[in-house]
Amino acid sequence: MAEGHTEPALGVETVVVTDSGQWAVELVVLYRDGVVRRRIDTYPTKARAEIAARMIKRGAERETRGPVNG
Amino acid sequence: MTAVDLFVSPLGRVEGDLDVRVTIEDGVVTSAWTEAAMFRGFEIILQGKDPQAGLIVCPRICGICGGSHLYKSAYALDVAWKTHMPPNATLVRNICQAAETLQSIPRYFYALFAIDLTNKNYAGFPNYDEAVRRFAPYVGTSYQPGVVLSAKPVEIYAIFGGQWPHSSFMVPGGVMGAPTLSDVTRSIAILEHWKDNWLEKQWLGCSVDRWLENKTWEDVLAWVNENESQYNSDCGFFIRYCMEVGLDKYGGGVGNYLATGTYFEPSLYENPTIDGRNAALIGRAGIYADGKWFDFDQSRVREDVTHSFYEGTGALHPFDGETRPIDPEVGRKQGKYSWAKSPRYDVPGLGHVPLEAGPLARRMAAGGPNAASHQDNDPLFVDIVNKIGPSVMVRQLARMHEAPKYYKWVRSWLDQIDLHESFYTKPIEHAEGRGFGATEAARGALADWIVIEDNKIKNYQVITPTAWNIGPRDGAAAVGPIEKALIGSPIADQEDPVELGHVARSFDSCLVCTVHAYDGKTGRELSKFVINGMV
Repeated sequence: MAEGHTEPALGVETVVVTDSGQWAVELVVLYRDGVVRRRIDTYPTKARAEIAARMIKRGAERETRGPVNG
Repeated sequence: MTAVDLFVSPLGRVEGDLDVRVTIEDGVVTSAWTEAAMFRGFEIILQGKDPQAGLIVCPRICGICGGSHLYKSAYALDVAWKTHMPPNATLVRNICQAAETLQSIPRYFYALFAIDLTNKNYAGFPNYDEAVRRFAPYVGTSYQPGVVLSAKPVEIYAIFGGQWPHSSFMVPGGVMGAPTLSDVTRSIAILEHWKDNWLEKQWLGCSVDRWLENKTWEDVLAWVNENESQYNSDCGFFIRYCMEVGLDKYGGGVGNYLATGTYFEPSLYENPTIDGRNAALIGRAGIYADGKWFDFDQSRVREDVTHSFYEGTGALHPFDGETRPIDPEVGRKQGKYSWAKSPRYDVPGLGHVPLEAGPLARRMAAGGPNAASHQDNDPLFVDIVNKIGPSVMVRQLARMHEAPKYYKWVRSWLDQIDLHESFYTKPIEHAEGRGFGATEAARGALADWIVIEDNKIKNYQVITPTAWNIGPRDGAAAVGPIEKALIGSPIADQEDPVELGHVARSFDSCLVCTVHAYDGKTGRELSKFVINGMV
């Protein structure tokens, strides 16, 4: 697995999975030589987990959204 | 060897546009150009207006440090009109200036800076998932309370100033409202709430006093490992994560610093003057350059327009400053590339050099010799810079270090207000005069120079901390502080140069704070893309 600066990530995805009655958000980062999968946090409802998954993905890939001058 | 030009726009997350063009060779930035990308022209707006127009116009220069703009505008008029300042008024001004900075510290950290710590390029590091858990935008376990609680200090500002931002309650001779006992006690309660629930509980994991015992870099490292609470606090984690991903290794900048200082000892500044200013300051002014400290002297400040979209070349003192914009397309043919002027300071023995403004500059000034008993005397960051050098991490840590320090100052000033005494002395409105007022906005040194003739503003010049930091090359082709800080930065992914964002944002550049800014592109473009202001 590549380490931070030496190997740029190619892509990122978040997934929501069930875990003991909770909903967990996992972050999946794709590298040229492999994949890193990290569990970030768990949430009591699927809806909250899905919101968190969206925000975590946007932060991780710095997706361009929102007003530039906001 | 591979070389590529990257054009990145915008880098600032607050407002306005900071465009950066860098040249990368073998994965390292070898040259940089920062471009303030929008013309503002506040100085032109103010010419010919009533002398007090600055109290209304200047706070609108910036939406997040409008209180700082008001503070220095008011002091510039106090000096020009030779006012008398009741001690209560000085205390209230101190409290509100500090409250604005206390707001900015967590808001900037979580909403603007820390999001980049969740960048996918760090996924290979052991603490990455913890960084995402804490700092992910809106849903991070630290982001949410940090941003929400950042609003509390400016509630104190609103109690004294009627509103925040864009208040105009500081006027020549004092402040416009006399607080009641209820106002003061409410302010104390709000400040304590912020301290208990964010500063100590979330950020430090210990008492304010325990953190302020740290005097050396070794003290800080020992503090991190002292107990579980501190180790797992946001501050403890931030230090550990920075050292893990290498934010302590780049972004150092010019290594020379300027602080105009702020907050006055009330008994020492009842009659504001330029000459009496340095000695009355609590947060000290000073220059640290080439390893030596110098007193700050406003007469040594110049603004160079050689590479800025203004008529002419060379540098002028702000009292004689000119703001005569030209068409950027014409300017580019003359080698100009930014709407920001280049502020420079004539350091004895070094000449006119670029200086970094901001919290790290304040911390270096605070570590200088000959502090009076009422002044900030803090060796921590001089020790840190001497031992590990300036960097993105050190600049950030300097900013965060001011939260416990300023909390204690505000608490003390609230206790000193004498509700039976005056908060305002009506001034004589002199038809002629010159004034200089300055402060330390959260982002650094901020100052106004006003020339009054025939009861009107003849000349008004504002130099913002962002101008000090993002200013372009000067007549001697010396790069500006952020340009210098970017050079040497490693770039792992040219498609997502998160490192550039770390460096630029560690200066907390607020382009709306730049009086001259515009939007444009210069130079050869081999690739062009946008990294976003807001997530």
